[in-house]
Amino acid sequence: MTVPSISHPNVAETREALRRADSGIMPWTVAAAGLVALLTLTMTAGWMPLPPVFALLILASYVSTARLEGQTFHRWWVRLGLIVIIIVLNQAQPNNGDFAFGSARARNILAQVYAAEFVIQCWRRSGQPVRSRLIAIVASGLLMLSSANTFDERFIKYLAPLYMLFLGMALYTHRPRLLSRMAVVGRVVFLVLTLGVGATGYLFVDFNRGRITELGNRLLGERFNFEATGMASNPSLGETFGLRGGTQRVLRITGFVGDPHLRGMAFDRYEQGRWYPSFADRRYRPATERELNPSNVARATITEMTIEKMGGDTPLLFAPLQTATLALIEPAEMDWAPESGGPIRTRARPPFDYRVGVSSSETYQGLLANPLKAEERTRYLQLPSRFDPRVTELAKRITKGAGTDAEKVEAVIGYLIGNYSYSLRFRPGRGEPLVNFLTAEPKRPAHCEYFAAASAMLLRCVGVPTRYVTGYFAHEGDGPNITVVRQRDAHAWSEAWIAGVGWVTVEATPGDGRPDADQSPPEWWRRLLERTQDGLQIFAEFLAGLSAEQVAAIVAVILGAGGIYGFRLYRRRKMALALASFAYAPPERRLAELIVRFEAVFARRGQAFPPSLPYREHLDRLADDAGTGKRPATASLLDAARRFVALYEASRFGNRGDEPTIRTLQELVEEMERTKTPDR
Amino acid sequence: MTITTTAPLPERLNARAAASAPGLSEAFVRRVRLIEENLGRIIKGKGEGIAMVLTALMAGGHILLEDVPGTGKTTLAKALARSIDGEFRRIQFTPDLLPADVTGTSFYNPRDGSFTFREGPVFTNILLADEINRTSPRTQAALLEVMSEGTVTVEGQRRDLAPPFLVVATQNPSDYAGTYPLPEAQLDRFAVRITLGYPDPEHELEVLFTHNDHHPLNDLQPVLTTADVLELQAAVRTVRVERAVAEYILRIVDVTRQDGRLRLGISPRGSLALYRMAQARAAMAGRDFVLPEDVRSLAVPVLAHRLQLDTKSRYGGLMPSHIIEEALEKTPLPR
Repeated sequence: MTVPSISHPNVAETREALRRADSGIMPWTVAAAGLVALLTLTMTAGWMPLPPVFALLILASYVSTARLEGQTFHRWWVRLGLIVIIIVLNQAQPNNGDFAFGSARARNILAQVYAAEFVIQCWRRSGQPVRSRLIAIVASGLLMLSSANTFDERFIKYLAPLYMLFLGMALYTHRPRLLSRMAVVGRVVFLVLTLGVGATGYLFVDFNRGRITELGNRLLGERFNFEATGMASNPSLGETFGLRGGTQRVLRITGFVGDPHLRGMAFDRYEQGRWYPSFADRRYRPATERELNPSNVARATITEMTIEKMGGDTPLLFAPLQTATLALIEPAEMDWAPESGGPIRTRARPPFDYRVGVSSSETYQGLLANPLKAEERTRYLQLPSRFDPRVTELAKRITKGAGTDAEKVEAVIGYLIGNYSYSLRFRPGRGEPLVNFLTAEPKRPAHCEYFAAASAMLLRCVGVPTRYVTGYFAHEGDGPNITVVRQRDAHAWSEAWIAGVGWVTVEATPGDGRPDADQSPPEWWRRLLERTQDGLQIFAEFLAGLSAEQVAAIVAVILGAGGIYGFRLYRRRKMALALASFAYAPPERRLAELIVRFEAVFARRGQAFPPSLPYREHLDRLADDAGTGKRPATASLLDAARRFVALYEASRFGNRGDEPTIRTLQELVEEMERTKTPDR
Repeated sequence: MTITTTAPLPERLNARAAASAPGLSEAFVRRVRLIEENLGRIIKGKGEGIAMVLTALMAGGHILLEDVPGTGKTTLAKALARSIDGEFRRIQFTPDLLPADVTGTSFYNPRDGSFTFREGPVFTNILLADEINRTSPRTQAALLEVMSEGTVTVEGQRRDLAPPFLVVATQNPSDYAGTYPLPEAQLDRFAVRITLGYPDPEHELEVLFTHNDHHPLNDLQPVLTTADVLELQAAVRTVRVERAVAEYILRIVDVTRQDGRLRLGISPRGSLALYRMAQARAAMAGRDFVLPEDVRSLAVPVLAHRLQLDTKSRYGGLMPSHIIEEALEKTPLPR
């Protein structure tokens, strides 16, 4: 006699997909995508010990039949272990590798964690291979995205399309029905579309690197040290500038006046693409209030602005060259090195406010512009050892006809701005970068570090003392009377000593000298985020002003309300869950042991029993599969399983679990456990 | 897809099963086979539907046959009545029917000046309520008491019906003109809703030929007495239901009660019906214990008609049976 059974089309379809995917090994297309992503990681980040090991493990999963069982916790231990190994092995890695946007160590650690997850999915056997495969695909995608976070484009442009190809094929094998009825033309269209999407994705990532990096850094909670953001302690002429700086706000200025060039540090010695002395190698002395706020200033010509230092990890106070007075609003220790034209540093932690008085005269020589002494003159004129004579000739040629120092400065600025264009990236090639920049034909676009260094060196060649300055270029208005300076506004320029005038700012970078060539206003979500941050700060200040009793009362009210709400939630959940989540009355202990062993036999074969399907139906399905050649379950195994199920159910639900029955069940399970997993 | 429940049990176990369950002896199974064959002679190729009808008979539950016209609903009901040597009555539910036409009413006897109660058609063993949705809810309501309690209360007096009492109702879901949808309370009183569907060509051909000279229904002989039916029903109640299986029923039912797309979930009457039907199904398979898969395969016919979808889901194309199937997919079986 037959009885009706359930067959809902969607359910049947899902089961069909499950059954098809029930083979326990990763499809080769998915594995290939993972291997390409691993290769990308190695090619972009340099040699690391783990990626080759991971690659070997992925390949080994095709040879070995051992698996991490889905129903045990083994894979969690493996996962944890791999993560620990990855973190330990990458500890020694420097944080600021020159290949990555943002923190190189964090990038590599994350990429390897994705790779480890991919490997685990290759070795895992679960009741839900579809899920396992999807996790693997996602892990490979994340790995590829992390690996594509690089300046090194030599390999990416070949590897990214290759990865997209395998990804497309992997998704194709994932849902074959999607295309099974498609003609050859359709498949070609699919392939072209995949490649097109890949290329578009690559271009998108390429254009939005800054944003993606910032997002990643936010997610990681990773902060840059100032080495990496253009405020280096000895800046070098690198390949890029500004990209590493995010849109994090550094300064917020109320009543901005004066030169938009906010100085941080100045440097005098240039050698092999680097500027000296380093931040630490200077003679600092405590700066007294009187010193920074001298009384002999003509107050009438001074306008004050308030600068809030919101973030950034530098201890520097930024101020324009025309600064006459400088004072922290909440006094804290400050020291400075006036002989090097700054810097002024403080131990106060952001956020804090300071007030800067700026003279209305453009050539005002204030706190940061010590008159040039005779012994300093040689320092500000020194050229690097073994300096290419072509640069000196070039300087002479540019300034031919210029009589005074001021004219020389103008000639040099005119030459650089007139002949070069701006780019955030410059690949200097071999040898001295500055010489390459100045002598290469055709002239290649570069970023501000090159223009600043070039103007300084060219002027020195013709006897004008100069120094190299790093700081921020303030230009972004944010509401009335407010100017915001972001990390990406980091900038470099130079200052020249003109006899009779003093120190003047030399801005030789084309395109307004702005480090962020992209002038798009901040996005709405960033504004919202910043408003929230400001609100939180105001709230924190409000809290700081409360008395202990007031704080205690507020905390008590919040805790009380939260407690009442939580209790009600708990009560409601408990009532709702009372029926929905109770466990079934368990079978007798020995029967329970036997059924666990029985289920494990099939789980090991990658044919785990779905929890809401009767054993018998699953076995029937496996019998149907036997003919299709997909990991056939042998007839003898199925037969034993059927006998086991009948006896077990009679014992479990019919109360017939006597000694002989249990013994028979035991024999059946042992027989099934001896059945070998067929070779694949 | 169908599964065979008569999978061969090991010899030893079969023997013991029979020995320890006197109520489900061979005689039981034999008698069930007899009536099954009887019905199979009339309704061709509908083994599943017939099995479900018999399961309901064993469980003592009322049957709602729902299908398009001409698929053999009434014939099946009549064949069932003929196969049992009991009293059979039929009510044709017409729009002008009144409650008293169903339950019966008192008549004035002019000879002795007294009132005599004349029993309505419900006083029977098998009641065929044909086209039940063609009468007004007012008249349908006359069946509420008798279907759940087996008693009729008229003019303040309670009258018991002689068991067994079984209502087999038919209705045609495709007609809307001149019909009244059954009230929820009425629907809940049916143990099972069965859909027969069209026969396949092979069986339909057979029907054409057998109906050539006369209706085969006329040849049908009773194979069970009402006492047999009561005995079978008593035997069904001895079928063992392990606690875990009962819990499985509750879990499925509970999923429907938590479902936001439903106006009405499954009532305790519904879980009781599923319990009893699962017992009957196990008994018909020769088992004296219920398996979770008995519950699983009965859930849609026993539960689906009790659900009331909310308006949005109903017009979104969702069917109550989808909800039950989803609940089955969500609920793990007790192992």
